[in-house]
Amino acid sequence: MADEQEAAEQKGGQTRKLMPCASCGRDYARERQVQRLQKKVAEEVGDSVDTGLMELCPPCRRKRYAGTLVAARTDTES
Amino acid sequence: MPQKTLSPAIVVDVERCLGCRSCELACAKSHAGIDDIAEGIMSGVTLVPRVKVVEAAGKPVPVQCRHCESPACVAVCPVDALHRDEEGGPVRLDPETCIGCRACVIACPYGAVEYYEELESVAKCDLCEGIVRPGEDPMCVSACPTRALSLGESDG
Repeated sequence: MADEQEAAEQKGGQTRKLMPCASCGRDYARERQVQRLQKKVAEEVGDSVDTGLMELCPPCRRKRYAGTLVAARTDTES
Repeated sequence: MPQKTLSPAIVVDVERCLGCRSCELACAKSHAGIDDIAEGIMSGVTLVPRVKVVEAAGKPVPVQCRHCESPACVAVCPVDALHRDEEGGPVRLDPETCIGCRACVIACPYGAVEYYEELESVAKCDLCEGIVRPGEDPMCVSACPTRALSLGESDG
């Protein structure tokens, strides 16, 4: 319960649960907002975007993409 | 139906990047409309780089908007502040229209859109449209001392 409270902000009497980054654990958005946007992107863009990436905070997403560039380069060399 | 062209985007050669952050600096300066960084800081100008150098596997890698073929940021923007022409081209941002809801920040799979309180808007790479002449390289590309950055086609 204490963790719940820590991970939530109180606004207008309603508890708004925050979304922790799946990689670093930092709260970066409201959980419901992330879920709503995942649904919207899946509907509008289809599977060309991995909506699971929305469960990472933006800095972790940047790192992940940078990692794919480095890995791609390493694969090319080997 | 107009023929879709591939989106232009900054392409990174990770082997060449030294992590000097000249790209960040050139981007921030040019978008703030200043030539001298010290002068800009002293005058209180908001410096916002649209490219971020991050480290992955011990290597520095500049990351910015990929101008995706199917941009998630455009799909979620409730006010069409983010848009792209029907025939393709870069994903454009109209900061005057942006309401700061940050949906695009959450949706971008590359973490390439950021919200800035000082601007009351999100900011992202615009390929220096309106800053350099058409056909010229964006400022980050010109500033890179090792040619790790070039203008190419989107991989997003």
